[in-house]
Amino acid sequence: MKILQVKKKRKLLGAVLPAVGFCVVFAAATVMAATPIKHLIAPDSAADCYECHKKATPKIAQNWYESKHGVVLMKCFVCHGQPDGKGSVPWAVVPSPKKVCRKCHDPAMKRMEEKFGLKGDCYTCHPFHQNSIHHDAYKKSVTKKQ
Amino acid sequence: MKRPWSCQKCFFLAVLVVVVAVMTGPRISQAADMKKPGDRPVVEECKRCHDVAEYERELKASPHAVDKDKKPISCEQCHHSHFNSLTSYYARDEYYDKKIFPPGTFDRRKMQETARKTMQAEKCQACHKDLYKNAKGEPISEIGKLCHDAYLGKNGETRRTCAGCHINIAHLPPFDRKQPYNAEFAKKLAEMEGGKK
Amino acid sequence: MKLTRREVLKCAAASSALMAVGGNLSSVMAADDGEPDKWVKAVCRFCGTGCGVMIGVKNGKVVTVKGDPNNHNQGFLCLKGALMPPIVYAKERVTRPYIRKDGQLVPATWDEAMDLVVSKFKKAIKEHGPTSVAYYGSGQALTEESYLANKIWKAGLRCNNVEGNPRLCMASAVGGYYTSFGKDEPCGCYEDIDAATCFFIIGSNMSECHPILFKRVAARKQADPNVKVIVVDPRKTNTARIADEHVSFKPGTDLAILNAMAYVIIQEELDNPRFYNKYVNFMTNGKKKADFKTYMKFLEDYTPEKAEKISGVPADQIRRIAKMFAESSATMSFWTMGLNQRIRGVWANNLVTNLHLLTGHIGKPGACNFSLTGQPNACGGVRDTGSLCHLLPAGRMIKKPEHRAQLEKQWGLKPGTIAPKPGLHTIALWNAFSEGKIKAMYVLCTNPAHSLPNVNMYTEGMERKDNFMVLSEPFMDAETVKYCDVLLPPAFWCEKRGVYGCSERRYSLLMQAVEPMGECRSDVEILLDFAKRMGVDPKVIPFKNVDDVWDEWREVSSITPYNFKGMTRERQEKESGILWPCPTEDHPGTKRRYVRGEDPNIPKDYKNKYWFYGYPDGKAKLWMRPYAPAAEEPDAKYPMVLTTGRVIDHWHTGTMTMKVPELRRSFPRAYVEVNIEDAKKHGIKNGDNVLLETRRDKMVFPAKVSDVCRPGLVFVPWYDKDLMINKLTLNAFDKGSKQPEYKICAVRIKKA
Repeated sequence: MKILQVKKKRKLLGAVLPAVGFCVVFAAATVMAATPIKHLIAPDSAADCYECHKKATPKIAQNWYESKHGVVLMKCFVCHGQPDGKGSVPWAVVPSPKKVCRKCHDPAMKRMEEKFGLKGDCYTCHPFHQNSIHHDAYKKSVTKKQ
Repeated sequence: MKRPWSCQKCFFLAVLVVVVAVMTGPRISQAADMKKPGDRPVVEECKRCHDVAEYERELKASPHAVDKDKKPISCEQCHHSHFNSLTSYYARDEYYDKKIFPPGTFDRRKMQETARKTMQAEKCQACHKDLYKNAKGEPISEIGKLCHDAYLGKNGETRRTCAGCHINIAHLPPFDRKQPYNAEFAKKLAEMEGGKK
Repeated sequence: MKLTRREVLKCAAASSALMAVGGNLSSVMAADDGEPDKWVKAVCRFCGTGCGVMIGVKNGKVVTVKGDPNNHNQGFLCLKGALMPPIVYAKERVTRPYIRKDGQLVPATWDEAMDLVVSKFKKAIKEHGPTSVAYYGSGQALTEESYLANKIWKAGLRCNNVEGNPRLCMASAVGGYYTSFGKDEPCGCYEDIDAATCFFIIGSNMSECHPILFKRVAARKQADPNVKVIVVDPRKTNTARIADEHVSFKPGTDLAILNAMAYVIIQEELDNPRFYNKYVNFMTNGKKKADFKTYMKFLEDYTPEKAEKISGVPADQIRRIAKMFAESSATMSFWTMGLNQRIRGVWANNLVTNLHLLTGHIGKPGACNFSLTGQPNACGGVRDTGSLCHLLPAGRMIKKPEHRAQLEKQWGLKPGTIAPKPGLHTIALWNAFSEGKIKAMYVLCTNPAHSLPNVNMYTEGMERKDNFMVLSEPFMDAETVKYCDVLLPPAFWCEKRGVYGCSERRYSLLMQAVEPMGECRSDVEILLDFAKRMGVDPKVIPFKNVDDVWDEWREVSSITPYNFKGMTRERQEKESGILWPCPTEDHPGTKRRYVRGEDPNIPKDYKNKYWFYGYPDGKAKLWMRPYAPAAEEPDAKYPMVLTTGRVIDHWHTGTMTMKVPELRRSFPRAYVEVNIEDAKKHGIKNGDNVLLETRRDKMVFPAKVSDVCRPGLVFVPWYDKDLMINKLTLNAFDKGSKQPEYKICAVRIKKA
């Protein structure tokens, strides 16, 4: 009887431990992903994001440059603020649609809410500064024609 | 009651054996009739399964075609080669034409994503030891210094490794060839490919 | 405790789910933070595009802005407009009056300050007559403020020295429209952008100075790939990104290019004789009426090959753009300071209009010669109210006795109240102030110690002890504050109520969003107080508040082609701007002037489709303006051309935009933009210090080496008060418009 109970305990441990381990790992990963990275401080070019990010994150920088936001000079800091938090726009790697996008895109956002019941998250469908380099921002893309 | 335990034990044991075999396989099989890696150029070895002719071409047109002493850079200086019993089996001469992984098998976009996350810094540091100078010993730009400060945690932080920021330094997939920052690389590549045709 | 495998799995699933949600809790909480209590409708404080904004107010403070969906900008804003709120609460806000005592500004009460101001003005008028005082206003002041100041000075003090900074910015456009049509202001509107098939953008960096209009042009190009964009600019700016043709030319030679385009248009049989034979008079430069043959002969000096020699533009390109301009079904031209801030500014304006008159690209949707106004209220506030030294409200002129009499009747004044001699234009005015001939100057909402050309001359004059300047300025760190004798604290932007009139003749009401800070008062209040204390005839200032001023101005306009009597305050509060003319309350506003059926000044049964009623015979004028060089061309000693301008991040002298951290950090200091080849020649690398020298002053700037400027040209932005490029610029001015030539002067550069 005792052996059975011990065996049962081991069985349970064998099931519980991995589950707990999984939870711990998952928690750690979520926390890590949610914790923002500390952006470097470069006071001389604090708002000139593009000059540095042209080299540091060339794909994103090029996407922005070719996108509609890039052509009309809607610069990085208008949506993202300043990485040291000293800007008038709150620093956000993923800007809040309600606080940021709404300043210019309120009519479109209202339409989406009324017609489709969509609220808040624009990025699921809309490329914020993603633009295929296979067409320029103010020319219709191949995909849009299809 | 006693049977389930012994079945499970056997099962676990079998799994363990297989794992060990796979891990230690290299040493066992290399002792056999397989040619050792190093007997032929590494890229030849890779070519047995991967159609790396294209990657080889790109490398030759890239900033990493040769190192600072003008010696050609070879695959294993950046990539981990995976020689084990399984791969060596399929790399045998009889199987050379089979080309298990023909072009198009690998999604280069997905590969690029993975590579940017998993390529190990040690490989780069073999030549690029000082992060404030380039391989030839010349000091890097102000922007470069700031970025490396962040990489080293001295000013800000970054979760990226070398390949996370430095992209298209050895290979140039077709979808990256139009990017303006790759203009020189793409030009060289086009000249090489144009010459060949 | 006994757990089954199922229970363990359930727990694991539940805990992971909770962890995923936990990440979102913070964003849910933040969403309600700072949401405004109310949205107040207004207009952006910056450029002449005049975007409507909704100001978000929470607990009596401005917390955010968004675009007005019902105004022409359809909810969009540019980067400056989107970042306005912090400016209102800058720590440099002037919140109480100051008087200068022993060289320092000392806080004072309103009574003390106003008593001193009035005593100085009264003394000057008593000892030296009304022409010894002046008012220098602004295209950023509200319409009611400019109208009121104009009336107080011209009808109350009987002084015609009323000027404003639009003299430095739009006077040539005014002159151009006056000479071409007999009337100021564009004849089309922004909606024309949506119908045009060719855009001719010359002397304008639209993408940085009129971003929302640029966006509209780019969107039009996207909607129809056949739309062509021509950008004529010695700099390859961001605007040129969407251009089909970027024409780079030797600065000042655009006059030759425009004439050459006319030559090609005629040679290619792309002109429209039906239009110009009926609606256009050909005028020589000597103001003599001529004919088309004379015009053709005049243009023989401007064949594309000859123009290439003058301007450096390949003859082929001139032919291409001329054909593009003329072959399109509807061409719209845009220009700003590149054409206006020149000693040949009026001529340049005429020459662009000529192309439209020659081809008939006028008066139909998409076809318009559209002068872009720089400031938010130069049109509505200064040009239309006639707040310049030679004008009277609604396009009337001081030198014409019938106009003076008509206005005196409207204002209920004794005949002869308005002095018959026009006052001093801006440069002459500040020259006179610098020489001590003007004893008392009232400066409102502008920064002349930073914005006047060859500014050292004028700041020296401001330091004199025998002249007096009272300044109404919201920001303590504005350069002119250093020189004023009395500093008054005005209400800023959304702290007051009034109208802005933008480039497309749209008058929009700014509603007051928050209470003025500290002891600030609206400029209308301050001016009324000034007038009362000066003892101005109460009949001149029968106004209790800003709405009364508007109602009078509405009434005054009703007998002129400006007629916007239909723009009552109630309508303005409900709608988001209306385009004048708007004669009745049910009139929707006018998109196109001079066109029968659209312009309410034209009877419905008028015999012709177009009536250029500015001239008695109803015809527009095509002026044969020759190419003439700039005032200070490059020579052996100063071999390069210096030009100045703006960047999108900063507005004018930076007193407002430097208060926004992102904008300040984006361009904290001025720089000199040098062409790559020029940089190589002078051994200049990016970031090096470069010494710029003109005949007037010299200054060191860090270099930005790029391919934007053409070789031989350097560009310096003018927002930096510590590196004021206006110390180097030239105050030569157009004889017709009196506008200075900021855009061209001779400079030499050297690595410092």
